[in-house]
Amino acid sequence: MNLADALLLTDKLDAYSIQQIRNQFITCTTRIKELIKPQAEDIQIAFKILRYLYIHQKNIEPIRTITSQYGYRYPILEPFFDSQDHSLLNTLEFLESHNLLLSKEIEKSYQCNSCESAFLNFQETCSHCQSSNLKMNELIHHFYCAYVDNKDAFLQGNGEMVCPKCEKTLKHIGADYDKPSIVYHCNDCHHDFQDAQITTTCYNCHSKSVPDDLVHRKIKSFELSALSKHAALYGLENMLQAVVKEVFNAVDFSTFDRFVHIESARIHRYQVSNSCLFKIEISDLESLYLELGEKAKGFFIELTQLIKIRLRSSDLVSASNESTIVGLLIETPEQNSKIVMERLLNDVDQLLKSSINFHVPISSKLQPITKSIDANELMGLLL
Amino acid sequence: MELLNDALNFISRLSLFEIIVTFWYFFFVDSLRYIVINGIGLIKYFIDSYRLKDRKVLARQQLFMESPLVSVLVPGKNEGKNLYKLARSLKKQSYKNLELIVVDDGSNDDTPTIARHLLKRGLITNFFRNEQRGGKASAANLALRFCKGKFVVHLDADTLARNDALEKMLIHFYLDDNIAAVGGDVRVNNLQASVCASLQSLEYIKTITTARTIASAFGILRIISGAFGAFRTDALNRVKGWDVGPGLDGDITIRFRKLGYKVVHEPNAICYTNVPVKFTKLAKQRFRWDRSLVRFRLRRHRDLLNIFNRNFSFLNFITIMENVVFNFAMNIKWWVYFFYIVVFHTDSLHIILLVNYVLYLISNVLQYIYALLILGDTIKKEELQISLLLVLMPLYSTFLMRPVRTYAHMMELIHKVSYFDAWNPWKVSQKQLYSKKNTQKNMIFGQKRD
Ligand SMILES: [Zn+2]
Ligand SMILES: [Zn+2]
Ligand SMILES: [Zn+2]
Repeated sequence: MNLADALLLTDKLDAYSIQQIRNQFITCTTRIKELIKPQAEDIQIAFKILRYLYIHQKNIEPIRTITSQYGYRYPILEPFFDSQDHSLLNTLEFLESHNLLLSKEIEKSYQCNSCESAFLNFQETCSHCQSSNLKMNELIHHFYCAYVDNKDAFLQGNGEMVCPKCEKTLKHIGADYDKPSIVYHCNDCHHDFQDAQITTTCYNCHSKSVPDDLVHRKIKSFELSALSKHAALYGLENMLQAVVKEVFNAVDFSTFDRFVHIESARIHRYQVSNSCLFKIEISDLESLYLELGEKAKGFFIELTQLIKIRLRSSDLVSASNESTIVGLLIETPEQNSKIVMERLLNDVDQLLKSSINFHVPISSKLQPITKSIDANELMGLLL
Repeated sequence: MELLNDALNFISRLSLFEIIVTFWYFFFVDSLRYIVINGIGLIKYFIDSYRLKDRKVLARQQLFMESPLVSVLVPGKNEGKNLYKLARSLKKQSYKNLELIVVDDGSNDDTPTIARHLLKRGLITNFFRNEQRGGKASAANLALRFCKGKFVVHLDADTLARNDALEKMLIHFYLDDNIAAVGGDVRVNNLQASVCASLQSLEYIKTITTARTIASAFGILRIISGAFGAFRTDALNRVKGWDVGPGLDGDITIRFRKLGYKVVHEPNAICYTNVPVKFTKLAKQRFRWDRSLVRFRLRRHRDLLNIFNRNFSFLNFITIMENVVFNFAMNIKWWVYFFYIVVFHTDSLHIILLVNYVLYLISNVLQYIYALLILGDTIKKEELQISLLLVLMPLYSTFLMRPVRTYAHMMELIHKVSYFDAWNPWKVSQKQLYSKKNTQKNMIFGQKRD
């Protein structure tokens, strides 16, 4: 039921509701069409979950239940996992730590520190002997004579309260008496105290503990982040390629490789080298994602746009993998290419300084195409 | 010098009768009370002490043999800062079987945190907190309700008891089965902080050490210090604890006496307390204290003065009368005397005042000597050093204490201000006021109670 996109109720089989359900399915299938074919490393549960959530536009909500020892479940995710072990929670943790899910704390839960069961019995116990055989007494303070005692001492058979000291009848709380505090009496060791010690007993493994020693877990709901929407569309690792493609209307890498071969062959033929290959690589993509979260895409777009400004329309650009942009500067001698690259890197530097506040390690490389090196070797040298 | 000559001339010209007429207040009021009566009391105290010497040794043995649990009750507001020092000092008492019960009466500082910490460390036996302030009496009663000792020692958090003080008080319960309460001697700790504090130290020695020891010897002690007193728990439970203050310490003493118990003062059970360092603070404190005289002695316990009462006791009658006569009526007479001098001896006013000063100085020195006899070897070096300030004592009494006292008595009688005492929370004061069946309440509040 939780996985359903829509409900078709047998007693409401009218045209309108059927149309509604149809629309729901159509939007789902359009989203499915947007998706690229997953690459091998993306075929894992985490990626599946993101795609599922994206297609069906769902959030992950916990529900309280006694059918799980944790005290809550995420029914929407359960079909992805075989057993009721920790893997579901671990996957959520992984996705959240990679900024692929945004979490919202729903409540805090105390769980047993030996079995993580949420089913605990909280009891007030005696601070002297740990007995839970306590009597809770409300204190009464009679303003007129300053007498203080347990409520029982004031209470008469007829429900009236009479002060044992001055024998006046108590009338209104706040007017002639008040209840300044509560005092516990231990029926076992006869200790009287205000601050009862709270002891917990686990219903699952029967271990005893105190609240401070329990596992404090935050129960959260999750929703997709902007980053994860793209991860769902392009795979966990392919955002840069997608952006490059979008901005440059660029060729994919195999096409680029073919062009390099053609250019290399042309140079062999005419014996004049006037073209250069370049590479710009982001060394630590992982931390970039972590730092920027959903802003990563914006950063990629700005980065590729900067590159686009410095290049001529005849130049060729592609992304060789998730963190590397490669380009072919046609009819640009090495000297000129160097200047272009210097300016480009300067621009990137400016961008980093002005828009994001942390250091992104970016490396670059320039490789002139010469007649002495064949195309495969060239690509090897470049990458 | 010239003034002194004038004074001598003035006196030599007067007959004995005239001298007595001119200085009657001194001769018939103060010298009678403080020199003659106190002198007799002092002799009685020493005779009693001598007679009880052997029995005291026995009583001490009995106390330590039985070694009953003694509950030290410390009610108060915002006293957290004093608790550690207090708990540590109790550990040093020669009498060891103690439990320390702290009641936090609606503190708004970190007192609960400190107290709970000390409770965990075992420095406090039990801790209770009223979220809403209920007044000192109710806090003490709460502690009394949950204490387990055979005897109770009521102690202010900011006082420090000498290591043998508890023992010295508790012995009395083994001397006489009829004793329900023993007052400890309160002395000034910060006596070197200012002239004001030093003068109070001299005053405490006079009004607590000497006066209460002698009152105790005569069997007419009327007050056990709230700051430091020991009680039989059964007797406290019989009177169902303390009543609403101010002056709750005096009040409970009188209630014991009404039940036929004896109350005594033990000058050798000493605790030290800090007093106001500034005269303005001191005046405010005394204003508060002095009002309780009218309130408790005159109003609440006036039945003790009724000689037709079934439970009439002559000693109780004297206890109240002594206080009423010397503190209240004589205070009025002093003002009568003062105006009499001003009106009828205008010319020689300065001389008469000077002679009075000298007479009162002599009286103070004599009383100080009495005090030294009682204090014995418990007197501290600092307490001896400030004895030179005795020359200021007549001025301190006349120009500070007497106006404050007179003003307080007048205010209490006219406006019943002590029901608005900041020391009691509003709800308690209001209750007290309403419970008096008079019409004044409507004048004060301008409204009727439902
Ligand atoms: Zn009452
Ligand atoms: Zn217990
Ligand atoms: Zn467990």
